[in-house]
Amino acid sequence: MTTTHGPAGSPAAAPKLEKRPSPVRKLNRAADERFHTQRALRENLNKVFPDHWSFMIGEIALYSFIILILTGIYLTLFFDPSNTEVIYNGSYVPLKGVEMSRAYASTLDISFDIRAGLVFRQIHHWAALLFVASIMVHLFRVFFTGAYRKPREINWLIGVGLLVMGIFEGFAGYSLPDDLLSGTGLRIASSIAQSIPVAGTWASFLLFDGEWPGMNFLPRLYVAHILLIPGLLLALVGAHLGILWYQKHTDFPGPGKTEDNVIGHRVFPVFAVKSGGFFMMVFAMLALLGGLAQINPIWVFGPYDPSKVSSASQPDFYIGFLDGSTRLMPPWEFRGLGHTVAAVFWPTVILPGILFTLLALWPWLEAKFTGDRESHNLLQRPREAPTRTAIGAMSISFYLVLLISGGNDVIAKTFSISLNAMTWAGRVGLIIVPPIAYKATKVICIALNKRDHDIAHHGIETGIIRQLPTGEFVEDHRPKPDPVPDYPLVPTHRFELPAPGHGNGDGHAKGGITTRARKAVTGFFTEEKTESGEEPVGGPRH
Amino acid sequence: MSEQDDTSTGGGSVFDRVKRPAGGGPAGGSGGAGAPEGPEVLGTPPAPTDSTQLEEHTSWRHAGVAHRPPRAEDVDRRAERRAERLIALWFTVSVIGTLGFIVANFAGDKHKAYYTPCLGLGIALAVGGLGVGMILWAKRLMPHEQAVQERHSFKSTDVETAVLEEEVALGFDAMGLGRFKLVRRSLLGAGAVLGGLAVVPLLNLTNAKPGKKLDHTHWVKGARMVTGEGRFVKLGDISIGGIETVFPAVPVKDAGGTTRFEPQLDLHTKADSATILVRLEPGINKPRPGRENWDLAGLVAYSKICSHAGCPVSLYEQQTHHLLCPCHQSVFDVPDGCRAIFGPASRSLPQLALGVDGDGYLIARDGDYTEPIGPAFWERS
Repeated sequence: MTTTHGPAGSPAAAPKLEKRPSPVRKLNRAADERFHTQRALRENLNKVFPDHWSFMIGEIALYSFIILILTGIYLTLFFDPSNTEVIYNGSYVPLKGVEMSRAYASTLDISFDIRAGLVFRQIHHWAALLFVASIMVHLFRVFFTGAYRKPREINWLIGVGLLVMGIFEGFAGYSLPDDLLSGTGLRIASSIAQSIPVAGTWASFLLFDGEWPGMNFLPRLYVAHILLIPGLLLALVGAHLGILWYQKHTDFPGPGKTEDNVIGHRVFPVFAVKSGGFFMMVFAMLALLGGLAQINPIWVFGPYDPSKVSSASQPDFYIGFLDGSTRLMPPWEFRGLGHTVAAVFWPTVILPGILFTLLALWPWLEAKFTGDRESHNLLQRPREAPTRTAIGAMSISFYLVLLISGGNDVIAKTFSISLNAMTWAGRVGLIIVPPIAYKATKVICIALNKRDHDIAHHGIETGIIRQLPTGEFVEDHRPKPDPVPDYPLVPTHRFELPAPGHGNGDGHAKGGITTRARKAVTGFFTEEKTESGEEPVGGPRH
Repeated sequence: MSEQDDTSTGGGSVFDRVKRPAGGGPAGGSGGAGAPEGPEVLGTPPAPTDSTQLEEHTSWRHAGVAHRPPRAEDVDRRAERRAERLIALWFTVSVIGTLGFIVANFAGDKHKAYYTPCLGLGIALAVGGLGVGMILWAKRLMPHEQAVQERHSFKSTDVETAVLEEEVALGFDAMGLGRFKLVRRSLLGAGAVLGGLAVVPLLNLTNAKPGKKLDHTHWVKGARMVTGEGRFVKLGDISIGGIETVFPAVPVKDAGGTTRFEPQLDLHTKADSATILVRLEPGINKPRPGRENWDLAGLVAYSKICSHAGCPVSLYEQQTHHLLCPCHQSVFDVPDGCRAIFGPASRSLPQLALGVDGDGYLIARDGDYTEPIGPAFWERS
């Protein structure tokens, strides 16, 4: 314990090589002889990750992705993605004898007849919600602290790609069971595909294998859900983490922290144990939700029937903003020259297209507007960049109006409001709320900045009031203290390495009886001897 | 700086680790005796309640580091043992959770209500116990430190960049793409044509060209209207204010010359031919020009597939005679030719001409809808 607390700035001498290595050390040396691992291992085990609660949101997304893969593998073993119609004969009595697709029947089986099927199905669904939600919150953290600035723009871009892919993956996933709710969602998706000018009808026919409801499209949706998109997600997650690892994490300003260092815990041991524990906690939370909180009870909805729909049918939350934009859209359908552009095209293709393009390009847009082309490793507090924070608040309020409008029928029913009034409130709100959010946020940020400025220049109020000889009363201010770190700063490379150039022989040449025995039989395994006959070619040691 | 703090400091935690600045000097003096250089203190200074102002804490400040008081585990062997036992307890909870999961999985009755919650609880304890134990372990027993690592600029030196650029340029020179125009152009051409390898398999994804498929439904002239349960519908089956969803039952000539009506209740027929019958009060229907005789004693037939995004329009409000689509809240006014009056839909629902056959059953008098049903598409005129 005490060895880790070496005094700052004076690394200890390098330790001697252990002469009688334990099996683990032997393994390590064997790997090193083949892959030259020691330097890279040391670098990576000593990698420092800064501590802040907001840096754990992205971890939640990563962990829910891992849980999605684990539970998803279990579900693939029992799910049958087939449109083929069967008569249900499982143990859920209310649907006995009902004609349905095998996809729906096998989902019922997973829910009622497969051991631990329902709990893993529900964990999978909850994890999907958590995955997208934590990506969004992580995005807010990165946005409001300016973490995407140079040199991290590419990772921002990958993150936006992960969000979009995560939304597609979630939609594909909850569409697979072929229940009434998911079928309705797919019907709308096919209408959206159909609405694209010029290529739309073909796109819809290609996606669903013919005119809706298609011939046998569940298998291809399944391939997209369990192979194509997860493969892409995995690659993007790998790139995201790899870049994060390589570029090192950003950190908030603080005592001892500069643009040129990272202060926190090393990967080994503390960060690894804490993160492992955090993964387990996320898993435990999802297991609790999956076990105790019902989600997507497909047996209540019944099998898909294109002529039926349940009222107040709601998609998963991450699709809600598209539902909202579709509901708020005025009936603008353009007809002319023998062609039609559907009203559904604008809010479901054009709007998200613009939103996600702006989101993806934001780091470059900001750099362009501010002229800031410098690299940044220290984060900003939201108030330090009032315009950016205001734009963020504006965007979130825009998103929230859409999201709320996606459930406007439920809200109208719950609070006995006219549905038309809700729609109009959404239409008007979409135009007036974001500017208000922008203005209010900017004013608040500037005011907070001003207070910080006052404290920095005039100090903190002490509560001590003094009377000057002139009779004037003044309050004492004391300067804001410089922040001081809590713990001593310890360099990660505690042991100094000798200058490169001369290896240290580890004394394997002379040895005990086994070494001599090995030498004696070596010739048997090697076909030739060197000219001098002393050492075999390709022998174990030179 | 004087080490001793006067009593007037303290208060908010911002002050915890600061001493009075050298320039400021003590403001009041601890005794309140009235410092000669300063004016008199009015008001009540906050009481010094913060323990970090005490001597034993302040004396640790050195080398720019303000230590927190050590954890109990660092100084007290028994506290360390207690922490160790607590962590082991959580790891034991994990074992219990795993065992509980195994027992519940195999011994539990999977049709009982307790089954899934027990499994979830078992997993939660199994992984949560490990998680809590690991985090306690890191926080209570592992040393606290602030490791420092340097960052380096990612930018290469000018020489490195120049050398690489030069070498790559030489490489391209050696490839000769600049000199051999024919190679360059034919290569680009080949690359572009190669795209066909990607496009053609994509086109194979559909079993049929769209063609005019979206323009037609399964309704044919004389097709009877049949409910989802397979019952043919007569006018009297629907009371005033009532609705019914019907599908086509197409006439099939048997070998003997008799006509059978084959109900089409498969998904594909339901998806485009679902039709909603609404019985309006007599006299309130305002038929469109040319459709004056499409209704039957107040009974009208419209496509059930929403002209907006294709959901079934299934909510009918009797008093207002409005049909509502539950997906995006488009509202259609039934007596006015199912005109879209609110929401994102912009087109009326297509109408089907009603008739009665010799046996009194409702039929599609003129055959299919006169316009494509459902959502718009590019080729729709």
